[in-house]
Amino acid sequence: MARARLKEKKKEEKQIGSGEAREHRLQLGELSDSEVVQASLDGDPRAFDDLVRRYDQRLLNFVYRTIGDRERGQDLVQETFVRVYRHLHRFDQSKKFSTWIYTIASNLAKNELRNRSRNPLVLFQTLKKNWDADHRPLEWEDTQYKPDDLFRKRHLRSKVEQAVEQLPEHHRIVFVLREMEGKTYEEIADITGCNLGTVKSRLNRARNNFAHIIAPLID
Amino acid sequence: MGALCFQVERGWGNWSSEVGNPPVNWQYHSNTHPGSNGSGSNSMSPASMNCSDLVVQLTDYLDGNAPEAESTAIERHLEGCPSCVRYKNVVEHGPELLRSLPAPELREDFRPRLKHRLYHVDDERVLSAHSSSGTPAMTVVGIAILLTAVAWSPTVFPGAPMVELPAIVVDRAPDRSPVRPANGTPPGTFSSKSDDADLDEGLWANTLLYDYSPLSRRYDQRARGRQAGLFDR
Repeated sequence: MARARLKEKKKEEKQIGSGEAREHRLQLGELSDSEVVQASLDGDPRAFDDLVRRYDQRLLNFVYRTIGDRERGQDLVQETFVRVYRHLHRFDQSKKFSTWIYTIASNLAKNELRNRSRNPLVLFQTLKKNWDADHRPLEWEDTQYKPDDLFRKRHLRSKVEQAVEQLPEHHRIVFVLREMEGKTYEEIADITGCNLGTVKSRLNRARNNFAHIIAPLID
Repeated sequence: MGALCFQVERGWGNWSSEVGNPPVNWQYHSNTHPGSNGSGSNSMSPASMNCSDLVVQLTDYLDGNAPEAESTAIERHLEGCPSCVRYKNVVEHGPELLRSLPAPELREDFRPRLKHRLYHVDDERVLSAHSSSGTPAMTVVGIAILLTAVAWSPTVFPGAPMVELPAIVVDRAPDRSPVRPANGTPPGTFSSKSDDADLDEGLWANTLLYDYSPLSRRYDQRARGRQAGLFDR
């Protein structure tokens, strides 16, 4: 128990750092996105690190759910941050930073899907990756569960993931932004470059399709 | 009416018993109501909303964007329509299921790699700041403008001076051969009495074209003296 707590503490320290750097990070952590952006533009090197810390996991989740490829998702998130870093001085600070960064990530994800549809090799690699995941041993599962529970859990998980992947691309992006990221209709409209009506209708269709696919799995 | 209806075949039941055999089959039916197993008995009865209206407006309702009247109509419809209630539950709980999935984890080398890439971005900036001081670019642009102006000057400045030369009119084509034949005159001199005297006349007058070098003349003299035994070897 104590060892676990120590490990947790070490992990936390590793994430936050120690001493002066830690204090600085904690201060940055209290600022809003736009204030951190301003700090980065003013030359504070830790400010951009803070932006990365705020968005890396969220963006990875969004990109991964959109393109369905974990490894490629990491590359795209990296590319997103590089672009943000390169063009931060062009960012209109009257707008929300999160909308801007999601727009960049969304465009990269769309390009990825477009390129993938043109390249059969990438498609094959994705299929192979999924096949590997299906045949992975179960050591990460909780051993308290019975085999049928494990099967049920895995089946449910893969079905839900498949259900998202089955949605058409433009529906999927809207759906993930709304359901996973909790974006408002206005933000989704800004990110995807559509009007509000289109966002609503796409979201409605995506929810309807998703419900059709997963309905058998929900008690 | 063409409403979107959900035909309940076997109910929801226990999930594990339903693997590979979906308990509910949602289909499009005309003139039937979702909650009636296709009988269409209570269609349109709850308020003035039917199931297809509900499917269209449910998104706004769930996100709290529906007007009050519409929300009331949806709630009334849900009170009397179990299939729509089920549909609403699936639409609500499906994304919850999705959110409950473990989020993908970042690779351990994600941040170091990103830092490395950002370092290169800084590097590029510094290099471009040094290389693009402005002067070379301006010079290139200036030269380009100058060359363009020169190339286009006849068109741009139509008043540029034009020299018109009188046409040369001849009676007959010259009949001399292209190669001048040797006529016994020493090389470097032209005979004023040649066939082409009319052409050459006055052209080469008082012009020294070639002269023997005094040195060669001296060699010539020495050779003759040697032959006569005047000089020692």
